[in-house]
Amino acid sequence: MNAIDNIRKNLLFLLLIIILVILIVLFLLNLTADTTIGQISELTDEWTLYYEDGQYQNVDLTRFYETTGIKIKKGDTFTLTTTLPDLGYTEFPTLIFKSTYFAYDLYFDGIQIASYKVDRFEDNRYIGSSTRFIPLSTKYAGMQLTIRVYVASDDLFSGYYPPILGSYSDLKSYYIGSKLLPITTGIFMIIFSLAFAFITILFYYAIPEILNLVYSSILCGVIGVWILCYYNVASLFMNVTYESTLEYTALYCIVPLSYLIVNSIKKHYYDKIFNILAIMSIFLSLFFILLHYLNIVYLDVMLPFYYVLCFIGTVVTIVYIYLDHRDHVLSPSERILLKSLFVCILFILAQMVSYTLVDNNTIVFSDISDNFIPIGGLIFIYAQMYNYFVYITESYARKQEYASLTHLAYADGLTNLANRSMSEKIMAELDATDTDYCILSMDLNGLKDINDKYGHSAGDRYITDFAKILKSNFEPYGTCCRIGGDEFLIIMPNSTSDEIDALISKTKSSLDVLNVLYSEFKRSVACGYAFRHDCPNEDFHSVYLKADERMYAEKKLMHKKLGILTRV
Amino acid sequence: MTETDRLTMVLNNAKRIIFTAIAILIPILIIYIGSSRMNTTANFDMVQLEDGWTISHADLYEENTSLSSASIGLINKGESVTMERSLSRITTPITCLAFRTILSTVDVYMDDELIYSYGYDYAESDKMLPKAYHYISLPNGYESSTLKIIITATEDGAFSGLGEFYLGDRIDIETMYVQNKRMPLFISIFLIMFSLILLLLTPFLFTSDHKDYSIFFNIIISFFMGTYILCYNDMIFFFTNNYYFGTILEYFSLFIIPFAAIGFLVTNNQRYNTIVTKIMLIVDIAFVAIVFVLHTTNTIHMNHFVIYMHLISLVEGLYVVIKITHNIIKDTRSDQSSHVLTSIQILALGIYILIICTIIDIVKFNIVKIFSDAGESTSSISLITIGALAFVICLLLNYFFHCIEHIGAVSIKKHLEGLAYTDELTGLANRAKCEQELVTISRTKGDYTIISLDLDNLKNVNDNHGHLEGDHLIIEFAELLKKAFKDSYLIGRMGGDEFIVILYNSESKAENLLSDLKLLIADKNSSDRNHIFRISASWGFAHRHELGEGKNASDVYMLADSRMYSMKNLHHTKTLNKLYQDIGNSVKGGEQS
Repeated sequence: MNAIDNIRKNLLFLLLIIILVILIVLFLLNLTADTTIGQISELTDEWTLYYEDGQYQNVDLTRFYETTGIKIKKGDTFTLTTTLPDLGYTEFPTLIFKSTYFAYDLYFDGIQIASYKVDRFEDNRYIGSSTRFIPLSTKYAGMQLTIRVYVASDDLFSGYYPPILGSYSDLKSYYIGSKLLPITTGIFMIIFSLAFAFITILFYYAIPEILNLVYSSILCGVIGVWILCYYNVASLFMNVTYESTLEYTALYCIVPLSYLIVNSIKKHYYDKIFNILAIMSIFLSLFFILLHYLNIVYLDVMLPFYYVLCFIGTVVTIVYIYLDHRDHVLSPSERILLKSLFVCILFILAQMVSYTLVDNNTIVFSDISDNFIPIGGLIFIYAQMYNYFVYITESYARKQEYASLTHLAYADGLTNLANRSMSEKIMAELDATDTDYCILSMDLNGLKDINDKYGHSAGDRYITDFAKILKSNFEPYGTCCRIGGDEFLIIMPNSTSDEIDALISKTKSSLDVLNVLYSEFKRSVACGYAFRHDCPNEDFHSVYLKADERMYAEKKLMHKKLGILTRV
Repeated sequence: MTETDRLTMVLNNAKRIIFTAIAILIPILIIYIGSSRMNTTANFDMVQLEDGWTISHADLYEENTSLSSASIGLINKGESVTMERSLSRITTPITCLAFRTILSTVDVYMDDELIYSYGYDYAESDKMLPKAYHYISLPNGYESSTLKIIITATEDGAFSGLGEFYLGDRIDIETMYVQNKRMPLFISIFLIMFSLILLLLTPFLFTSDHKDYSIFFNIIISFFMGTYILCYNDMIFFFTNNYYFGTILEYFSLFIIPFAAIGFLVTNNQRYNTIVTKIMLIVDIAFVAIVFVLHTTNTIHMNHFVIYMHLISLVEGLYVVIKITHNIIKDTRSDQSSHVLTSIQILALGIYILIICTIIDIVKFNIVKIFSDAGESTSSISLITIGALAFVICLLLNYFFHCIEHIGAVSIKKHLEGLAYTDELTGLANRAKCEQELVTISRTKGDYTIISLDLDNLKNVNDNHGHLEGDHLIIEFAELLKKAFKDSYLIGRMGGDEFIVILYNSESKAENLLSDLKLLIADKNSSDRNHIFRISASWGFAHRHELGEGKNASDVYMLADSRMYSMKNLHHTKTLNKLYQDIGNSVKGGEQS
């Protein structure tokens, strides 16, 4: 049942569910929305800039270049000053300050209240972006706020993020409200990755094809970490002094994992080219990470090269999607994995593109395109879960069913021992090796009489009891088979006649025990065995015939003895 | 073993080692996430005000005591606890006093001047006071004043411990609260998002032959366990300042879980769909409804029902655990389950883990609340978080295996039915199936053609060459039939050497198909080098429209059969004639020679 059929059948249902989910989410958001939002103020303009020897008034931080005409270079420092507005009664006045690729010192009323990575700037080390909450004192209105900026990278943006002033609880609501999707998605992806990687690894031992899902689970976790760091919210939850480094490391792991995923599902199209590209991309990505941690070259510098690798990887993915579209070689599970990987990449690219596009002149907070990355991540997870539930269950079921059907084909219905076909299969396999084996032929005595006198259920019980005895005595040494109504066969590789004699007498004693306990009728069995070396250069048929001969010899003897006994 | 085989083996071993390592790494990572080593250090001074308090309540008056050792007992409605202390100066931009109360109003005085008050609006309208966090900005000069806090309970049994009081920077304090509960926060977000995504998957999980409503209860359990853990650990307040909403959500989530759990069992497995479980289901949902009504009408507030909920859960939980264990024992004894895990075993595992974790935590909670001096507010339930995660994962695995078992059962059923209706030797439909089909098409309106075919020389071959060769003849003929009539409605073997073909709405005419068959037979006979036997068959066919009203497919078949016999007689005569001819020839030849 492929996805399209499913969608068509359940379209109405799907729409209802989507509406339900949207309603739930809206309901929750509404209930959690705070009714008392005081004033929060974005300190965008009215900044005074002191750069080199110049002073610039009324600078708009978001349109820095426009309003000042200055192109900032790496290593520059400048100072910005403004006067804080009065927002009325503000409990716990706080500033949110987002810094992008610079170190800073923050002064409030002339006193330094915050400092960020200035030492790293002095060591000419990499500085990423961060968002910090900075507390002010109760009397803030009309006070001077001064920021001394130490630029750590050449100007990539045309402006800066303005600090936001407000009461702490209002700012917290505003900030978390604007990052709700990245926060929840990032955390969800991380825990999902851990839980499902664990489950998938457990199933790997039964279904090796599930390997690609292990890789995708890990990829989910990596994307989750990347999302938390990219949106600067990881610092809310843990001590991440190197949030940006973690962000880049996670980012650089995406390409290798994607190649591993595609590798495990592609069929043998363009193996050589793919292998070359894969090994090169994986090696380069990991090499870049290593270079960063050895402080030789930093990840942000290597970014353009990494983008090239991403582009190549995306093209590779598109090629395989096209090939599958043309030839239909992938299983539905693999197809969904490939396509969802592509969609996720698409969403990431879309956000990056929209960000750089709008950034040429202004920084615009676009609500939806800012959330493309988490949406892409959620789609990826949705596809993983679809995979698990719909396809993995079917594939595992079919495997089990195959196992049970082959069991049906190869097992005797009544006793669950191997049947004739199975025994011939085993013996033929042994013939192909050099192992010496022994075939033990056993024939139950008196089954026909018991069936006639006491009915078939008694006869069945006779057979099943005997089968249980055989199993418990012979199972570790060989395979027990039932090849006819009262005919049994035991195949024992590498056993000696002493061992076999011992087992036979054990079996006969067990039958005697049964005879004592349930004395309605007498049970006995005739046995004969032959070794492979008894019939050199011949196959199992001859060995079996020989064993059968010996068994008949014993049977004749027993009939003489037993014949007398039953009559008495 | 070739080089590539060896390489593959090495790779496979490497993979196995790496994956086992990852599997071990995962629980370690989870523990690491929860550990306080990952916490952000405070930017400014922060002090926990543990000692040096003067606490008075009713007859109790203790000076210079620590909060955890002050045994105030269970505080009931209207009773107050007064706490006094002097503070030392700490260096923060604004000094914040932070603490938590539940079901109580709060008044904070600095040197007998009221600086903060909470809850009177709720108390006046007789609403339940929620669990609330208080962040009080202390005025300048607090280090030379006395701090006095009066907490007044508005419900019986509101609290028995005073909790933790912090002095420091507000941002530092809130960060500390969040990061101390990082693990429950992450896991509860996971559970909530997971249930929503699962809900979006349900249209695809419902196929026409597999309607398993237990997935909905699965979703409800996951969602409300998530919200319960989120609210219990106060992490709902990371997302909202609406304390009332958070408290209500916590109680509601707790109360709805037994209903969802029993509902899951009832819909998951027919064995558990009994009168007893259905009654439990009704009791559970009625409980929730009653509580809701009583609370909103301000008759009895929700918090009083927690003890009843614990009791109901305990009783139902015990019943469920016993029943499941009993069933598992029964299954293992009847030897049906092999080494493969069944869905119910996984469910049992999940339930056991959850119930054990819950019981440990509930017992710990109640013991601490009643017997410990520090009171229940210091008891942190964290085991239930892991238990909930494990339980939800087991629920999913249970669903997983349930699907597998269902698919397997359907498949095997089809296969077995196939076995019952298939002729073992040829793979064609057997007599039972053919007769069933004759009845079926009798009921239709369209025209159909029935061809009856018979192997001419089967007995001959059996007698002269043995049954094995006879079987070969039948199989080969069947293969030719399959080729010639591949678009037919049915090809079947009615008996030893009797075959039937039903054409229904077929494009080709019977005559054409039969002449195809004739060619195939001639081909086969000439190409068969062994010449042990020659295939020779007779046939006859009849159309439905040849017979009038009141005649069914069997009648058509009989007409076809009689025509088949005519052809057979013809063949027989021909063969006999040929035989006489041959004899005659040989005699003649003999005479001549």
